[in-house]
Amino acid sequence: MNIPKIHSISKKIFVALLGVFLSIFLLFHAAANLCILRQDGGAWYNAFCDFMGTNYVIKVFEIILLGAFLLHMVLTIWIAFTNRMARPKGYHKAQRSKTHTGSKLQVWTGILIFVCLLLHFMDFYFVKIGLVNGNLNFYEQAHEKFQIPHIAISYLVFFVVVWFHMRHGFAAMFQTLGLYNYKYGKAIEIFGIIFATVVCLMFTAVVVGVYFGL
Amino acid sequence: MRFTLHIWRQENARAKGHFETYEIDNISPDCSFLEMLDILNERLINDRIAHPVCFDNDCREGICGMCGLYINGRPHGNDDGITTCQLHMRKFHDGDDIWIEPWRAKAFPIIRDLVVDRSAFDKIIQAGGYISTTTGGVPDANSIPIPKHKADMAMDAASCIGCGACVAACKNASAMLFVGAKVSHLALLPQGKIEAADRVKRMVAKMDELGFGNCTNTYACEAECPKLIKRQNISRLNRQWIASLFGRDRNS
Repeated sequence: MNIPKIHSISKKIFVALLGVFLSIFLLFHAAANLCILRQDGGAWYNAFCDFMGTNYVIKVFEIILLGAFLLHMVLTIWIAFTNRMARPKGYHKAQRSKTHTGSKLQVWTGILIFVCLLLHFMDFYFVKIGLVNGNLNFYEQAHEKFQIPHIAISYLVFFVVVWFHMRHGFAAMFQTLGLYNYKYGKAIEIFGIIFATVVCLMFTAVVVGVYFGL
Repeated sequence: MRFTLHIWRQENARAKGHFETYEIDNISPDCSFLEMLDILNERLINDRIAHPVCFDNDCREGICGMCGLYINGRPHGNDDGITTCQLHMRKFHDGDDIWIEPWRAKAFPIIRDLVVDRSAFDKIIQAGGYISTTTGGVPDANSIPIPKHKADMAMDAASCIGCGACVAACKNASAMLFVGAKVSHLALLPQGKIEAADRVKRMVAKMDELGFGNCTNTYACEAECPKLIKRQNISRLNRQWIASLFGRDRNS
């Protein structure tokens, strides 16, 4: 059987498109999390979680989301492997070219996000689907978890890692999709920083707010 | 000035290479890097110390793209927008250790010492980096109006000398800046648009086939390009690639 060849640029375009999808999801996730800060005993947040847990369209979306995340990861690993093959013997002197720090960290921040996400799933998603025992009232669960200092700090570190990944990923996404040009290049980079900062601040606000009982 | 040179020596493509250390003194600060290597080679030959160090060079004025050395962790050495032949010894400090390595990439196999085979670039150009039109007589210069900014961008892309510094600098040994520049300077002009879809497909397929890596948007290529070719050319290459997926193939 002939396996169709996927060209290098096509692979990157897939990664970028999946990145767009995951970024939009993160924005929605962060916005929904802000409901935790409402002083309503978790009425809004639990209603939202109930909708997410029972709606069939959302269940299909969950599978798509998981698939998108895994495909984003697999394609990136494939690209990284090809790249390693492209230079079998490296340089003796470490590279001193002026490059973006974020781009060099992208694979590592990606791996860290994967590890952190597994821990996050242990706290929430695996509880929802019944793989792990825990409190199904996620408003209470969030208050319980985020008031433990080392868990709260771990989540804050997680958000910093996500920020670095998105900060580089956003502009790289535009570059890969051929939308980065002389006119809007700087604006895209600035917007990328703003987008990553806003999303991560939204997540941070919930953890900090719950920890300090705001 | 006095320097300690650590130079990669390798008999041929199959031999195991190693670094050899040479002390060199009485070098003028105004001496170019390649002239310094000439002086070293003269001493190696006259004093019967070793075979001269092989390195590529030709015009020695930054336009031919032949010279290419990885010096102290940077292609073309510690300066921006220059080729190795335009690097001068005043950019170093007296007594410095200088590490000189060849371009490292699977697609650029070492021929000897610091000389690498960059014919992979020629193969990419042969795959589609041209306009296959019958030109006929010389047309009037203004018969096809081209906006100034497009002409400027095409000219900037066309200034690529194919030295391979982009591949050498990239942590993935990717040739995207080179291919981007070669695709751009044709695609930006009306004469090159006719075959644009076919060209980008063939050049990218050849680039992949030759074993260059994927671009991960590190932009070391842009930082080290002696002709200061911008990353926007990579973006244009991606754009052209996407367009080619939906475009009509010349030969289909």
